[in-house]
Formats: sequence, C-alpha cells, structure tokens
Amino acid sequence: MDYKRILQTILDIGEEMLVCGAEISRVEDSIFRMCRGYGCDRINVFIITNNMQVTIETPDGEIITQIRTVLRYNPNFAMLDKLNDLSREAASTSPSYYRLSKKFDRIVTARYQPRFLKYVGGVLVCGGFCMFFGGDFLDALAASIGACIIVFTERYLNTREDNEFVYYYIVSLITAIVTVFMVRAGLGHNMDKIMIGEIMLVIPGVAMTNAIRDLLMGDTGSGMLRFINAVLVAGIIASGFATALLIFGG
Amino acid sequence: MIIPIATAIIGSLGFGINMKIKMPHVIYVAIAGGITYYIYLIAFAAWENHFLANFVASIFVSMFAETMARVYKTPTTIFLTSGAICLIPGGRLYYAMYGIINDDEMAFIENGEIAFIIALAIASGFMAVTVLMKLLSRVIEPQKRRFRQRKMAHGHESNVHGLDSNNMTNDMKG
Repeated sequence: MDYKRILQTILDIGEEMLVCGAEISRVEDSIFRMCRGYGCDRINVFIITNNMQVTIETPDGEIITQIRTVLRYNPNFAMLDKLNDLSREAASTSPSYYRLSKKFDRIVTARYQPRFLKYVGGVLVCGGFCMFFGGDFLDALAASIGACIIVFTERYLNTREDNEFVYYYIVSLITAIVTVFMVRAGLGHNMDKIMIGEIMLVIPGVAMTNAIRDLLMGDTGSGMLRFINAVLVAGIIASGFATALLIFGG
Repeated sequence: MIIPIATAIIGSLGFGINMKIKMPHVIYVAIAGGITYYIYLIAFAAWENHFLANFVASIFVSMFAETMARVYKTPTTIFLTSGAICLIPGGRLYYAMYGIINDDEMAFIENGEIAFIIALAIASGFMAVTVLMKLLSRVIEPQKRRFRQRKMAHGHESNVHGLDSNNMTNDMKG
C-alpha cells in the first residue's frame, strides 16, 4: 500500500471536514481512527484552526509526517455528514488508496444544494428573526431584501477577498447602507429590527458554538483561537453597521 | 407568544437551509428551535432570570442534538448550531452597538452585560450536557476509555517488542 498517498487522502478528508464546520476534536478523532484503521502505529495528530499535522509510523516501518494549511471556511453540514460516514467506513474497512480517493472525490464534487436555496435560507433567517425581535411585516420584507443582498455580496466576495475581517466589514457595510436607504424610501418602519434580522444572518454562530465546544472538549488552544476570531468578527460586523449609521444617520 | 415561536421556527429552518443540512434533519432542527424558544419563554416567565432561562433552554437543545446525533449517526454540531440560533443575543448586541454610536453609555453597559450573561448561560448549558454525556458513555461503554488511555503507550510498546499491528488491535480489544 502507498501509505504516503493514503495519509494525504486522510488529510484531505480532515481538511474538508474542518472547512465544512466540524469542531477540532471531531476532526482529530476521525483522523486518528482512520490512521489506526490502516494499521499505523504511534499516531500523533495536531490540529488548530488553520493547520493540521500528522505523524504516523506505517506497518512497513516508515515514518511519515504531513502538514496541511487550511485557509477556507465554508459551512456545509450535508457534506460534513457524508465525510463523517466516509471516515468511519475507512477506519473499519481500510480501502485501497484508489477507492478511498475516488469516494472522497465523489463526495467533494457532488452538488448539495441548488443555488437559489441559499437565498431562500437567507430570506427565512432575516425575515424570521426580524419579526422574532418585534418587527412588523413590512420590516420583514425589508430584511428579506437585505438578506438577498447579503447572500449576493457573500457569493461575490467569497473568491475575491482573502481577509476575513475586510470581507465581513464590506458585507455588513453594504447591507447597512441599503437598509438605511430602504427605510428612508418608506420600506420598513423600525430600522433597528431590520438590522437585527440581518445581523443574525452574518453573525458567526457556527464558529462561536464550535469554539465553545472545542474549549469544553479540552482543545484549549484551538478553542481560544476560534473564540477570539468569532468575537473579532462580531465586532467587525457591528462596526460595519455602525459606520453606515454614522455616515447616513440612524 | 405564537408569533415569536413561529418566527423562531422559520429562522431556525432558514439557518438550517443556509448551513446545507439535508432534508429530513432540517425539519427536526426547525421544530427543535421552536421548542427551545418555548422553553426559554416558560423559564423566563417563571424565574425572570436571563441566565437561568437561557441555561435551561440550551440544556434542552444540547440534549436534543446529542440524542439526534446518536440516533442518526451524524456529528452533533449539525443539530446544535441551528437549534440554538434563536438563543443568540443578536438584539442585545445591536443595541449595545447603537449605544456606543449615540454616546449612550447606560444602554451599552446594560445590553452588553445581558448579552455576555446570555452567552455564558448558553456555554454552561452545552458544558453541562457534554459532561453528562461523557459520564454516561463511560458507564455504557467502558472500553472506549481504556483505548484512549492506552493510545500513546501502545505505539511505544509495539515498537519495543516488535509486535505487528494485528496483535496490537487484538490486544486492545481484550
């Protein structure tokens, strides 16, 4: 067996799990289990939010270390579910490199959701939470338009902007400016309720929950990294909305 | 009372769709979001305490997520994040931010404090259930713990004595 290639595929699986929004301890556990399934010895797995390192000793007696940098973040729970199944399957049946990588490719290239469903989800979140926090129907309509703008901007910036903070700042600034002008034009009465609905969509809820879970599972380092990251992102979003309110008046 | 719960369900559903949860699970998550908020409302009416109400609600959603994850053999995160979204203090954060802009220190302190308390309560609820589940799984399947303790030692031992991997896994099971 070509253990170097197999370890690379195992790291691919781990990387995609991390990108899809799994917590660190789960990824660590999956990689450990897969390596053990292939009969490797002395497995050392080290993962923080954007870096993963694995050292194993293969049954042939060779010692392999591989390092991976993870820079993307794109929550996709359907894919995470499938990757989790694949990791369990690989751990129990230890398929050959060819079959493992083929299964992995099939999971990664599959289409999980038509494009418009992202807009539907955004509209439901913004409209729903706008009314949840006390807005009326017209506010929910305005928040839904804001949701479409958020999803569109996120899609546009996803491949063009690497810095996470700049990305969130631009998204929240554009959304807030559009909201201010919508309220001035008469669409919606309570600007605060509309903006709260929009904030609920951009706020890093998954990252925050995962950070707390990582902290509680004993991964203090990566938990702190993710927690500080999530808090900073929340601050950046707030300052994006604040900038629009300061310039155009609340 | 009907409107907040209905909108909490809609919001959780939207969040689930946004996170690309697959079809039947999205519905469960949405209903769980509604029930979570219902529990929060009842608890808040009973105790008038932000911490306790959010704590109880987050215990419920965490229990739900752990149970569903075990039933459907999926990661817990999938059910946890979308179910707990209606507890996240988005409104408090907004008013705290608005307080800074308008130079209203009182509003900032009040809302920021409550937002912090709510976040703490949600985290404690998750922690309580996580600890409970760990204890339970220790009682139900004790060999899992042994495996964790031995995982470092085993590699070392097999290296010294030249055991092959087959032997090692047999040993671990016994």
